[in-house]
Amino acid sequence: MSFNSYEFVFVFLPVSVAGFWYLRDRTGESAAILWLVLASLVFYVMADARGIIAVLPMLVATYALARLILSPAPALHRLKGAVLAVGVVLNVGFLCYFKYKNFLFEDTQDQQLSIVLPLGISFLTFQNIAFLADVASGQIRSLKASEYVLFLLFFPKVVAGPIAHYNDVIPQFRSARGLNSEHLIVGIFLFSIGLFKKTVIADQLVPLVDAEFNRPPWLSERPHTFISAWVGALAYTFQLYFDFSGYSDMALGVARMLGIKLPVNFNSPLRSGSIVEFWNRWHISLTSFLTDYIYTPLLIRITRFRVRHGMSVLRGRYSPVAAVFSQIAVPTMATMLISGIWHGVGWQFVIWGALHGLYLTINQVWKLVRPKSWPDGAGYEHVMRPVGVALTFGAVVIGLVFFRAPSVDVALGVLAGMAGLNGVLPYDLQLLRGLGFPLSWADVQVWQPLTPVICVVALTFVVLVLPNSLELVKRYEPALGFSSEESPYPLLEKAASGRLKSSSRSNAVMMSVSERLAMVVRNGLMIGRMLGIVIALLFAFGLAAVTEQSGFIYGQF
Amino acid sequence: MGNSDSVVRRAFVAGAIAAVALVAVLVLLNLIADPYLIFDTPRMDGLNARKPAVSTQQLMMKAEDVLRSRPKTVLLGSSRVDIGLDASSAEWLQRDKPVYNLAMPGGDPYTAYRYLQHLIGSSPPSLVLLGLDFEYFLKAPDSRRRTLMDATAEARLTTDRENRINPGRLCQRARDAYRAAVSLRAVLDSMTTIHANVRGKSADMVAGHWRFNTGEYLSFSGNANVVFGAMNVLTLRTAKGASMDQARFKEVQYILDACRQHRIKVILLINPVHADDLEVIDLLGYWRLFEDWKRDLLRIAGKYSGTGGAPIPLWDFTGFSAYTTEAPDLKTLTSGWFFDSVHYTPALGDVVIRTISGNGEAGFGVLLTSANIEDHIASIRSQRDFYRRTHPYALRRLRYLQASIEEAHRGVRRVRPCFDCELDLRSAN
Repeated sequence: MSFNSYEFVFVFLPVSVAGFWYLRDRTGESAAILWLVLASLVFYVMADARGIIAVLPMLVATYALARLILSPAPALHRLKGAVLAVGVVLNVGFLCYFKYKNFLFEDTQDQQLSIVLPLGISFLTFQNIAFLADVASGQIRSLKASEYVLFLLFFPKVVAGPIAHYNDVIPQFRSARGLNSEHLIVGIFLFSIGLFKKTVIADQLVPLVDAEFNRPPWLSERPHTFISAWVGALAYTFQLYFDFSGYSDMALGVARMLGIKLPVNFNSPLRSGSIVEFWNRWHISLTSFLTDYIYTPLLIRITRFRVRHGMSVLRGRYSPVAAVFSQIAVPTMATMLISGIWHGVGWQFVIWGALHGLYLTINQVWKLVRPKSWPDGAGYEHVMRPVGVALTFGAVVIGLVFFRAPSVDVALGVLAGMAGLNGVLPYDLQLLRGLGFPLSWADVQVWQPLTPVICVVALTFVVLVLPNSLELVKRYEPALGFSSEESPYPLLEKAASGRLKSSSRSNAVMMSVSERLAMVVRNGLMIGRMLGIVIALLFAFGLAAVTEQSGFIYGQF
Repeated sequence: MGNSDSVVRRAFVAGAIAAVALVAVLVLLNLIADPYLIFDTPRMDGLNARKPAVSTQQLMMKAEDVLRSRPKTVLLGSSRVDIGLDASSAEWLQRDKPVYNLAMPGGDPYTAYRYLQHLIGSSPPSLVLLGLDFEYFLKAPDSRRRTLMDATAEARLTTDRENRINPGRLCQRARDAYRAAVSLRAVLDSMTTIHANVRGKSADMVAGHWRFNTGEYLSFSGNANVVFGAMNVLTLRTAKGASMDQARFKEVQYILDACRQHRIKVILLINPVHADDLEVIDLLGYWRLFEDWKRDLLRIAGKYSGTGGAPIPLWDFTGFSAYTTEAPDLKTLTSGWFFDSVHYTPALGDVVIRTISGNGEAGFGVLLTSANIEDHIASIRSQRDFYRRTHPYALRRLRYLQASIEEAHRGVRRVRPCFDCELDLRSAN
């Protein structure tokens, strides 16, 4: 069962939401929470019955370790660091077992031992690690088994996040008061727009992507050419974009129908003016997680090591090369390589991670050296922001070619095509032209139809200029911390943790067009008839486009 | 933040009304256009008579449509039969009508067998005409079985593989009906259907025959050689490095078994192909295999003929005749014998129908027997040699295409134009 299935939309969702509000009104919070625990278990079992058997021991172990850390006994209190370490190792080991054992068995062709990845295993692991860290740091002081299970398996976010902090979510369950029609309608709006993005946009792009990345063996020799390679690469960029954006909207929407606001996870990342900003807008909660639990600890240890041994450290624009390398390049590359390997097994994922590590390193070094060559901050933003957006967009697309390609060879082939090394028009057309017969414009259209080109150009406009779903209902705080306060991206600054000081200002410059558009649309999207009609259109078309069961891409990680 | 209940209620009511109205409009559109022939809505000229979705949804369309048609004669095979043999042609003998074309684009013998079982499960025909293509008996180097039949296609047939009644058919029909009524794909196809009917030209399906839209197919090219070249490139690629797939012969035997069991008369037909395709078969090194394939088919036909049933005729329409050596030309593509190097036109299809009905002309189509097959095979070889002497440029073009594909396989990424071909063209002009 997936968000984009009839059984979820017409049976599971209405029953679980109605049951929750009914129990909330009639019996109070405990029964309502138990109802959601039950609903989440049913959702998980219906999506992956075998997975729950694999996941339950991890839940029990993590909960037991959390209770140990919370234990008032002084002996145990002293050992809480060790208990946390055990918990992290257990969870990471569990994740690695499921993610990489298949790869090893595939090598030995032993299909009997092949293991199916339990639903949302990666996000459950990250969630557990964040949870244990919060317990160890004293942020979580009281714990109930039912609330812990709900926190972990809460069905709106179990498939692919967002990764939330316990204290951000659980108190909301306790404080929800009665059926709130605003929650319901904002939730339905977010769910409908997410469904539309997933089924009407992302799923429809699959044939364009497959034409370039999943060619049948008999077409493998055909070189990738300029236009089709760009169409394929951009189509995949937008497929992933709308798949994940759609999922994130649906997750926020379903949770909101239950009165819960989840953290913002996706915020028009392709509008970013730099790769650092991109990572603070794409899968925001994962970026925060990687920053908090890999990048920052690594950076702190490296810095301490260098200070302890009298080595040079970063000093703004006067930073020595050695410090730049060890304090910027090493932690960044390490974090992104781990991210790459987490996304999938294969050299193409390692290259994707390394590429993003390199992008981020260059971006951060540029931040250090930039003031030397361009001291005027405002002028810099006006001129360099569009350049930054174009560069970031291109860099992300190139990275995604590796991310999507079934092998490094295919990725390099597509990139060679994008670079124009194999000609502009499709190879077969070049081949037929080689026969010496004149080709008409109509011939070109058959081998290189215009519709996909128009499609990717239109979607480029959509992702760069149109307001996103959260901006449209900003007045109702669609995600945790995402409201019409002064700074539109409070979490973004939190995630950037000092690495991205200019984000708010640069957003203000870049967002002007889409913000203006958003304001126009927002005024029409106040709760009322117009919002109802917009929801109906999105929902009806979204549902009409559901034909085959197609899972979410991030659900596979 | 608070909103009065009445405002929220207005939003819900407006949304619900809009959703219901929108869905109702879409369903009505799909019911009227009936793009997949699921609802059997009366076909009216200028509105919904033409069915252009035939190009993509034949598996679903024909599964429903053939049961309604209750044909006496059913045609099985690939797109070559689907496009080439007009089920409503006047050439069919009166006793064999009504005829239904149950061939599918990309239809392998297994698909043909399953759809025949499907029809037999409802109303067995009295004559089966099975069109056979050499390329469908080749197994790709990756050994993957290529068939159109997936779980969805299997689920909509009346019987399962073991010829038992398929209990899941009702569910699949409901799913098909739902998709045909509500899905976005159906909405787009309905709009295409109505647009095509208003324009008065498009592909169409009548009695299962895919009325190929020659106008649209050919309008893309200023030169018929490009159309032929494209098909030759496809065959050169897909058939490269293959071996004979014995399982295909088994599937043909399943069809013959089913026909024998239900006392259905069978005619086997090796489809006509253009000389270009025969040359491609030779260039790929399959000529002997091609000849052996015919011998094997004759042996199977003979096996079934000798066991009490009616004799099973095997007709061979391949060779280098006046029909199959027709020069690619835009003018003759629409009125001549071939759309491209493998797909013959209904005009040639009519010649085929006349021949197998006993009213044909000598020299095109040979009824193979153990007494004449070797002479026939030798005769095609000598025809081929003569053709090569009189049409040297044709082979040069094919060799160029094959060499370019091989070069690309070796990593040469830019196409080198065919100098010889250009010389041919210049001398022709």
